[in-house]
Amino acid sequence: MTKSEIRQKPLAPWWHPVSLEAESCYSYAIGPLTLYLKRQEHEWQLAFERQEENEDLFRVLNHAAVCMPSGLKTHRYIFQHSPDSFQLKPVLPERPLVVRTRQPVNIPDGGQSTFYISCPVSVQVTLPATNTLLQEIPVLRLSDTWFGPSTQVGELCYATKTQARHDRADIPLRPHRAVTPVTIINRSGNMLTIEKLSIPVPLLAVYGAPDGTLWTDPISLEHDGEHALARLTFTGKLPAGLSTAERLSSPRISSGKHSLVRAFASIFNQ
Amino acid sequence: MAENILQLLQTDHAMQFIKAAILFLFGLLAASLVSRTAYRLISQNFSLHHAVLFRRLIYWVILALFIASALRELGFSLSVLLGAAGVLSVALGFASQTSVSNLISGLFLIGEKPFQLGDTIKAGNTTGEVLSIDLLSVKLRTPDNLFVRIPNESLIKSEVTNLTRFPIRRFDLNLGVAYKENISKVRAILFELADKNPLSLDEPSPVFVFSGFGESSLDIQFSVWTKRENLRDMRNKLLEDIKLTFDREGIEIPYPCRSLFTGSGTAPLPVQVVTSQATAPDKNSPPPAQ
Repeated sequence: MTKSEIRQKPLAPWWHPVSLEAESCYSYAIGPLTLYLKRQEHEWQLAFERQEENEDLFRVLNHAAVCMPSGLKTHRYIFQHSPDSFQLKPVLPERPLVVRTRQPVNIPDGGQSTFYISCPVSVQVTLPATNTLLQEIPVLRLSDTWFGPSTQVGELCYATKTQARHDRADIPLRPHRAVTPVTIINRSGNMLTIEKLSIPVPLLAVYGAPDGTLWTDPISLEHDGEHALARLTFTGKLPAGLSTAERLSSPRISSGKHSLVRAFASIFNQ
Repeated sequence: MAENILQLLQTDHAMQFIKAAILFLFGLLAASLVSRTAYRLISQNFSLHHAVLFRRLIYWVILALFIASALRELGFSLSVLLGAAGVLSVALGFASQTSVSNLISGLFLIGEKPFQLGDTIKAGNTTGEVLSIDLLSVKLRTPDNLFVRIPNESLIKSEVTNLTRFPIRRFDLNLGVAYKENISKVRAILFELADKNPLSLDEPSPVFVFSGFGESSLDIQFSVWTKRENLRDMRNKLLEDIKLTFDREGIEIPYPCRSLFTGSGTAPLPVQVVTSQATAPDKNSPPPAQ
């Protein structure tokens, strides 16, 4: 299958449980990540590979495989009697995501704007019958970065670049990235210039839409100019076509409805 | 026999002994109880190290008070004893100068807290993880699993580097490329490699410094930030990538080279071209078989 053929193939939800006969294999490709699973009477085997240079391969391919590919590191999980189905679950990374806008974005005083920012998910391979987590595999190995006013104060995050898309219709359909609607409110009295933005993804839950796209809780970040930290609010309004019933994973860290987060870098670096 | 003992007990001396013994035993009990309670209270709010130190201090102060009372009960004059102890401590002080200096340094180290248990420090030529900070010395475990004891005095006097104080570190790579190379191409390659390496931090971004015209190369310093635990992995990967990419792009990392001149007044160095036919047989080669 060529790249363009793969692109035209509609996405399918990949988070439903899959039953597997004993002594059979299965392969699942989600974006750049390909997983191989094999079930035997007393064990499950799991291997994976990534094609990081083909991040634009927005595909979901799943089919029974002949056998486990050789040359990959295979993990074995031993059971008394191996459960007969597996399930893949999307979760967000354990550190905040720092997105760099490709061009600086300015929001005037009193203005507010909603951007759609996507974050590559990690895939949790679970056996739902026994509720066993076999492994958690990030779809992409994101680059580390530091977010804070100095090299002493701040926190380690993951870095990615964003187009800071405004319109939901512009977002490409990608199976391996969860989209966060971020509303930025500027009440500082000055122009707010955003070159980098930290999204507290460990606080967000993931939802799966029937069309195979992933979404997170929408958030709003309010900058009032007095505090170094921004006020984070969970707006609670899920994008159209989604309901809380489609929640696939809970946040890694639970927080209240409001909290203060370090979100805007340009404020500190002036 | 029993009468004798009874008589003995009734004397003042025996009563004094018994009182002194009771005082001493009570002192032991009280010191142990109070110090343990204090330890529990202190360990909630202070570090483990401070709690241990306070426990020992309280134990010995209380015990010393009770021993002093017991001695007084026995008829010793405390002022004489303290005077004698003063003279003795001066003598001891001269004799154990090093220990006392280490002890005082230890107290300063504990107060100043330049490092804590579990930190990795570099003192002199020794790098290692701090196992314990005691009154006389600091114990380290080196990466090759050796136990090193460093006297507190030398730690106070000399420079100590704490490698694990901050969560991120910078790796400075010094390298040289040949004079013929295009320096902006080299810069672009280095930044691209750092960007591709997931262990190198995006922010603070890598720093490229063209540090000068060296003897045989253009000297460059390229500094990359990383999470402190990843420093070695990042360095290995980055150096490997640089070597492979430079080889592929044909960028030369030169050896030190020397140009020989014989001075302007002299003739050029004579050069003789030796062709393969004219090569004389090697003296060291074995003689042909007869």
